[in-house]
Amino acid sequence: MALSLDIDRLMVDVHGVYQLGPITLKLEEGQWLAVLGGNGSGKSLLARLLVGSLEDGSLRYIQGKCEVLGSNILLENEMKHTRQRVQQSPYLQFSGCCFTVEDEIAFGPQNLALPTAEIMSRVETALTRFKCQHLRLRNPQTLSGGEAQRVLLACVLVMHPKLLVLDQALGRLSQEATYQALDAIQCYVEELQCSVVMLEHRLFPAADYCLQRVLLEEGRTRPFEEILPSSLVQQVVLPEQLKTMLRQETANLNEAARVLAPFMRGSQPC
Amino acid sequence: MHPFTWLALWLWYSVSALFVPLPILVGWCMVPVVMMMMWAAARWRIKIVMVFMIPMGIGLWLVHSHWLQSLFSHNDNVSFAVPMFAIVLWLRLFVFFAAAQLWLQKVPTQQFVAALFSSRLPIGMAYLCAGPLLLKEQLKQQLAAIKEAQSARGVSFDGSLVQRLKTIVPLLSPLLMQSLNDLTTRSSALDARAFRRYPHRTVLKPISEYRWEPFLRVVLLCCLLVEGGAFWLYHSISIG
Repeated sequence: MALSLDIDRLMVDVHGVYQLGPITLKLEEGQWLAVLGGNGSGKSLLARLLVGSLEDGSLRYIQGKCEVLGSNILLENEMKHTRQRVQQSPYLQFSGCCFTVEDEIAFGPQNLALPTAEIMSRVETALTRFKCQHLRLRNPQTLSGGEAQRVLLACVLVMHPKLLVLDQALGRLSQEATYQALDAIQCYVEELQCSVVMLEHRLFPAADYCLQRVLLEEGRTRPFEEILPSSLVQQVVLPEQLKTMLRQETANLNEAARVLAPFMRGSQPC
Repeated sequence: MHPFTWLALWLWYSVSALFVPLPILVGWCMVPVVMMMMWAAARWRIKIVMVFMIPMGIGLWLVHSHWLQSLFSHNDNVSFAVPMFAIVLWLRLFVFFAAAQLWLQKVPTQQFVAALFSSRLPIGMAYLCAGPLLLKEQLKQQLAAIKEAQSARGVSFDGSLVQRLKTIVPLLSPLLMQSLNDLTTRSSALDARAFRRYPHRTVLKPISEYRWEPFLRVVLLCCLLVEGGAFWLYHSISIG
């Protein structure tokens, strides 16, 4: 299976003030990857690097390999609709020129000049999957935080991306709504063979969906298996009970699967 | 009618005010006011017109009647003739503003933006034209968030007029900075949604128009050219 992300010992200096790297990430098509890290670990910067939204000339001192969807993004640093990023503040990611949720979701496919029937079909599917049918005629700017986040996810997934980067994108949703949104994303993943990168400071719900996990610490990635439980506890938000268990029962996270198992949610059918 | 036809009507009516003589100009500026008074839904806009135009009129009178000049220069030889230039200017601005209020009442922002996006204008240009109309909702939301944050820091938004005036700086400076900071995020979001990727985009809800409307728009623009030409010619001959 083709690799969506092929990043190997990448080191970049962003804006001359923040150094990312060494970063090693491998992700196959249709797979989920969790990048866990605390505040200031470089999650948002990494997310922007992956989708090519860093300003021109902001990257210096580049080493290593960085291929996203088969193209070297260090050479072709541009936004493409096949790479989508959802960030914490949904309102800023709306087009700003649509007065209904329905029009907002259709905005991207309209820009792709798709046939009307195709656009309507994508919009209906997205509205249904993210449970936004009742918001169809609402103004996007008047939505609550959680509603706006669901609508934004719908807006992004109607573009049928091949790589979806969720930069703490579910923070405004309740636990139930978070899992509903992730289940909806899972449907798209299965349908489109889209890869998902979740950048989170919380272990759950990322761990429920992502079989591959890495820790981002001061701009450096470390495989989950090599992390000491104490380090994980410091960097990532965990349930209290799990924290206690990790401190007591495991010397390293090789054994973590057993410890995590009781906290994991079973996979839901699409 | 199509929003662009209403826009052409407004443009014709407002620009024509530049060419009509003073006696007609008075009647010209009464027409939109009378229409607003007769149209119940638009009646509230009369207040907006008055709030905007009366202080402007006072300002123009003070400046052009030389009253301010006499106040600051202590010159007794200042002439206090009726400032006809200022009166004509004010009446023309009145026509522009009052007719614009009628246009805004007739064409909701949503409809005008839809018309812009379904027009033959390049999408970037359409977005640029729609921009000022779209700012209101976004600024309102940002302002509410800033107000909440400043209230938490002890800034009081109640009290006398002076106290409320003092709160303008803690409101406007973060609003301006935040709006500028958000531009990068907004442009990235538009790029990600394939904005301007292709020269044409699909129009889902085209705005319908009568067959004669494009003709009317052309006629109105031609009328403006003829009026402007006649006005220029008349003045050239008078001066000559």
